[in-house]
Amino acid sequence: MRSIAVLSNVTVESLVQRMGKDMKKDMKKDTRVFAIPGFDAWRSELLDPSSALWRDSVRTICVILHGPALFPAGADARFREVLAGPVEIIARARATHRDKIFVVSTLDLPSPPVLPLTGENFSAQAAAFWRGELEAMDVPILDLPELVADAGRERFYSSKMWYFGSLPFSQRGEVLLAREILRIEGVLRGERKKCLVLDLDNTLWGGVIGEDGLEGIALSSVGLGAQYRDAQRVVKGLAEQGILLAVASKNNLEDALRPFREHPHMLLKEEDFVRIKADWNPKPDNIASIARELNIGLDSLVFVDDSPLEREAVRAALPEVAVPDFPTDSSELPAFMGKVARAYFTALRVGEEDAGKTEMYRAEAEREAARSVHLSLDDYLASLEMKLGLHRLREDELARAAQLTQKTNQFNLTTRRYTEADMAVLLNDEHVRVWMAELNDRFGDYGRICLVIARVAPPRAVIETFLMSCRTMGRGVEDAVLSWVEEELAAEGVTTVEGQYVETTKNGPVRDFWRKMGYTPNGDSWLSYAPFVERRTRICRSS
Amino acid sequence: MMQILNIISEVLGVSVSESDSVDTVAGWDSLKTLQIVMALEEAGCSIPLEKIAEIKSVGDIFATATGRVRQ
Repeated sequence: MRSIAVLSNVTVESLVQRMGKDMKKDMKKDTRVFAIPGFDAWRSELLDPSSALWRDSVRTICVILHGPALFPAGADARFREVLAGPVEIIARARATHRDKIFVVSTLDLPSPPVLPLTGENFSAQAAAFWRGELEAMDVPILDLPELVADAGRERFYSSKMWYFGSLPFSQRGEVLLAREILRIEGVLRGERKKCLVLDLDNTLWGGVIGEDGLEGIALSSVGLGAQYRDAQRVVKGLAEQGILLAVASKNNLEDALRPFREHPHMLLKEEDFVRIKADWNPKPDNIASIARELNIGLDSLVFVDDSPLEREAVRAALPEVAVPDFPTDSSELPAFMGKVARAYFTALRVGEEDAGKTEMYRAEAEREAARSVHLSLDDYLASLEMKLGLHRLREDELARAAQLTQKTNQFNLTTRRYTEADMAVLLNDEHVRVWMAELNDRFGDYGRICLVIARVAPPRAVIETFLMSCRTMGRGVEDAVLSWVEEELAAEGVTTVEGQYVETTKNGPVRDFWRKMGYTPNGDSWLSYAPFVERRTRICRSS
Repeated sequence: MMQILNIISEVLGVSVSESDSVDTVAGWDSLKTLQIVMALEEAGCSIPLEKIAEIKSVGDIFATATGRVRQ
C-alpha cells in the first residue's frame, strides 16, 4: 500500500472521498488517499515529527492552499511576510523528509472587489511571489489558478459551501481538483506515455493529401488552415520534450511524405518522427509493429486519429493503446492536442537524457532500413560496423550499473537487482569482477549496454549476472562480450566457467543462452572449460 | 422529484426513497449532506444556506430545495 496525503487550509474530506472514487483501477489496487483532519492543521502537521504524514506508506504529500483563506482580509503590501511562514514550513519539511514527494498548489487570489484602475494589485503580486518561491524550491506544482481559469471562478467555487462548511469548491471544482491530483500522482509514478502515433489526413492537415494534392490541403499560418498548424506546434513541443512521434496513415507513402518535404507551413518534419507508416495495412497492425520496432510496450502508445472507425479498430485490437476521442469541431483541435499532451505526456521535469531520444530511435529506424537492403543477416551485421568496448567497472559508473540491474528484465540471466551501495561493495570485493560493455555502430552510440558480474576463485569462476539492454539483442553482442570475459578470466588462470540462469516471467528470450554459447548443463547451472569456445561475430573491439 | 432522488442516491451510493433519513441510510453523515447540497447546486437546484444544517431527511431536502434540476 502507498498513500497520498492531502493537506489544506480548507476542508478537503469531500475532495479526498472523490479522489478515492475517481481513481483508475490499477491505482486503486495499491493506493489510499487520506486527509489530515482538523481545520487548518496543515502547518502544525508539517512541523510535527510524530504526524501520520511521515509513515512509510505515505509517498506523496499534496498541499492545496486556498488563497483567500491565507489572506482573510485580502492581500496587502505585507503579503511577503504572510507567505514567508508557509514557504519556510514547506522547505523545512522537504529537507527533513526526503523520501516524500511534496506537491504544492499555486494560489488563486481574486483581485479585491474594489480596485482602482491605477495602482498595485497585491493579490496578483502575492500569487506571483508564491509561485516564484515554489519554482525556486523545484517542488512539483499543482497549478490551481490554471484549473480555475479553465472552468471559470463562478463554476469552480461555491460560496454556499464556503460559508457552510469552509469548503470553497463547487462539485465541479472538486471533481477537477481530484482529477488533477490523480493526474499528478500518475506523473510521479512514471505513467508517462512514450510515443504519440498520429494519423495524417484531417489530423495534421485538413483534407486528404492523396486526393486534394499539396495545394488542396488546409494548412496555413492564418485562417482555416491555422488550426492544423497550431495543433502541429503542440505536437512539435512534445517531440522536443523527448516524446517519440510516429505516423500511422492510410496513404501512398510518397503522397504522405510530400507535405513534410514540400509544404511551406508544415511545422513537423520527417526527422521529428521515428517511424512513418503510410500504407494500406490495417492500422492496428502498423501500430503494433511500431511498438515492436521501438521495443516499447503497447501501453506506452497514444493514438490520435480523426476517424471514429480507425479509433474503434485500434481500441478493439489493441486495448492497451490509449485512444482519446477526437473533437468533432476542428477548431478545437489545438486545444484537444494540448489536453492529450497534458493527460499522457506530462513529465516531472525535462531531463537532458530526453533530448537525444528521437535521434537514437531514428538511428534504429535507419538500421532497420539498412537491414532490408542487405541480403543476409551476416552482411547486414557487417555493414553496421559495430565497435564493442569492455572495461572493468569504475567508481563513477556505480549508478548506471545499479540502474541496469534494476531496469533490465528480458536479457537478464539471473535478474539479481543491486543498489548503488551493493555495487560499491562488489567493486571492492577482490573475488568479484564487474565488467561494463559499451557499443557503437555506423548509425550511433548505444552507450553502456551490458553488465557482467563474475565471482572468481581460480581455476573456477561463476558468472552471477549477465545482462544486456534489449535494444542490442540479436546482433551477436552477447557472443562477443562473453568471449571477451572468458579471455579475461583465462588470463587470471580460470579454466572452468560456470554460467547461471534463473527463470522469471520476463527472461524467456534468454532461456537457451548458455546452450547457444556452447556451455553444457550441469545440474542447475552450465559449465564451459578452457580452451573456451570461439565465437564468430561481426563486432570489432575498440578497447 | 425523481431527479432529486437520483442525485441523493448517487451521492449516498444507495437507492433512497422519499421516506429515508439520516437514521435509515447507513453512512449519511454531515459530509454526505454537504455533498448532496453540492450536487444539487451543480444541477441547478438550491438549498438556502441557513437550512442546510437542518437537513435530516429526504423530505427536508424536498421541502427546502428550490429551482428545477436541469436535464
